[in-house]
Amino acid sequence: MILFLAMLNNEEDKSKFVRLYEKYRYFLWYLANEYLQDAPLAEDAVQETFLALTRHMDKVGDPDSGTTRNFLATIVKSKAVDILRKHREEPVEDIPEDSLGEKDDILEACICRESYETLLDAVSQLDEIYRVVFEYRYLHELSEKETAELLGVTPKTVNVRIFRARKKLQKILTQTGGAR
Amino acid sequence: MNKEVRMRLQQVLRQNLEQELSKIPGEQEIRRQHSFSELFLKNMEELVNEKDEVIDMEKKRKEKNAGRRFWRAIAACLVVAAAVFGIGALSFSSIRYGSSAPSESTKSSDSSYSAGAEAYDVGEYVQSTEEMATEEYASDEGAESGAAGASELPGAAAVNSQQKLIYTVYMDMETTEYDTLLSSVKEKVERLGGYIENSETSGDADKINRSASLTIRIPAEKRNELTETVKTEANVTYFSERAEDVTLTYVDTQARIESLRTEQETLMGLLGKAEDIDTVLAIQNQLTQVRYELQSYESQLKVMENQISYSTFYITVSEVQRVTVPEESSFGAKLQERFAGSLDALGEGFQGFFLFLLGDFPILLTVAVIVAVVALAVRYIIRRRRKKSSGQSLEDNN
Repeated sequence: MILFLAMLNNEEDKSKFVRLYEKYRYFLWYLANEYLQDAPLAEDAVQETFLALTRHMDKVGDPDSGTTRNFLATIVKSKAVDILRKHREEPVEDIPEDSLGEKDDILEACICRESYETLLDAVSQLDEIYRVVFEYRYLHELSEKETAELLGVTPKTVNVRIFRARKKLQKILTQTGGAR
Repeated sequence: MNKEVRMRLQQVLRQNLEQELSKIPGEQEIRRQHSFSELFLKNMEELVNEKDEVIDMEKKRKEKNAGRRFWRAIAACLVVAAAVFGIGALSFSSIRYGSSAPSESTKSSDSSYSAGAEAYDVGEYVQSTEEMATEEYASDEGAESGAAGASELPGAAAVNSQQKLIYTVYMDMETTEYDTLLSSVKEKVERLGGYIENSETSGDADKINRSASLTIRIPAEKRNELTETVKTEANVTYFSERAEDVTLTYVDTQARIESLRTEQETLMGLLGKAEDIDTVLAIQNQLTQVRYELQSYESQLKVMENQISYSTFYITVSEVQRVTVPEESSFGAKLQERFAGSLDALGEGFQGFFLFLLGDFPILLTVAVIVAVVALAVRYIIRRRRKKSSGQSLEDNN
């Protein structure tokens, strides 16, 4: 009985996977190409996306829903960012000296205070690498560990990126706040 | 990070992403631009076919873990059982021998209790109820101020009908009638001409801990009706309504679309008049650019219009055994609340313990038999040795 259920689940997963592939490959390629401006590299990003997805099918809901589309978009963007970084051979980021978790309350106060438009603008100004971790953590509500698995980095790196992303966002917000 | 900050951030991220994605053309358009390479298609086909195996591997890994967990649970049960029956055996032997057994038996009874508690999460349960209680007290105040603010909003909106406002409502509630509440909310949403954009449910009906978070879109002018319905049917522990004025952006976007349309028409006119191929190409280039921008602004406007005409409700519903009563703020009331809560937790814990004791009786019995046999054997061996040694010492004395 349990075996049967497992098989059913498996079949379901497989057909879902195929549907996702059929439905979104062009969409994802286009998005990746926007970032990479290189067709073969964009293909790599799409492939990486689906590869990462095989291990996380449980986090994908209805293939036709907007949530699923957004989730896939975030993954492909993060893969594209990865590829871009590898090509430029940027050094591996190290942990910042300043303590983690500091000044959080300022950012939160900013988020509460600023208008929706300002926030939207600030988020669109963020570097893709930071926006992607934000999307994973706060839009798709994945845990640090799950984010790390999808990104192919350690949870600690995710933590560092989140920290930097928050700092960046805060900087942008305080700058625009000061300009007004 | 507090909840509202989190939700705001989520909403902003979602809109930013959706704006970005709305610029992506349809599949037909992309197909014209790009066809996947042989290598890619081959790799992907392999991946799709291999996926069975990948999933299988993942499943096996998970099952292995689950299996490990299962064995760990069994081991824990055995330890508990052994401890329980160990006490019996030890106290039995302590009566016979009057040795240091009593202190040992108290020790083992301690360990059996804590093992039982772990298995049934009594400790965690108590903790979580405590957390819930404090959070709710904090948010009750917020609910009141939020409600007060909300009652002023509709009047402000009526002042200027040209004003474009996006309403977002956050509501947390708890209920004892989980199913009834959910279905009545869904029914109300349908009746008001709204729809459920996103819904997530989790939890277990048997344990009375189900919860649902819903994202509901309701025509803006009818949003108060939903709020009222929900307030009468459930205990709302958090309420906030936010009105965002996007008039400026809205008008701005409209103006841009207008000017882009004019530009498009002018370019079309020019294209008709153009004679040499270079001019045609240049104009067409410009035209593509204009069309692209136009589409992007139009989709932004559409998103905005949707947000204006449909208010967004972020609702979380939690199922509870007892509804927390918001008026309770005196010390006595709080104490009573906490006391009742911990009694509940205690009851739950004992229930769990007895369930284990009675439900797993067959296992316990088997273990008991084994333990008893071993104990008897050990006792027998010890006795024989003693007899022997006493016999020997007797012989020595003689």
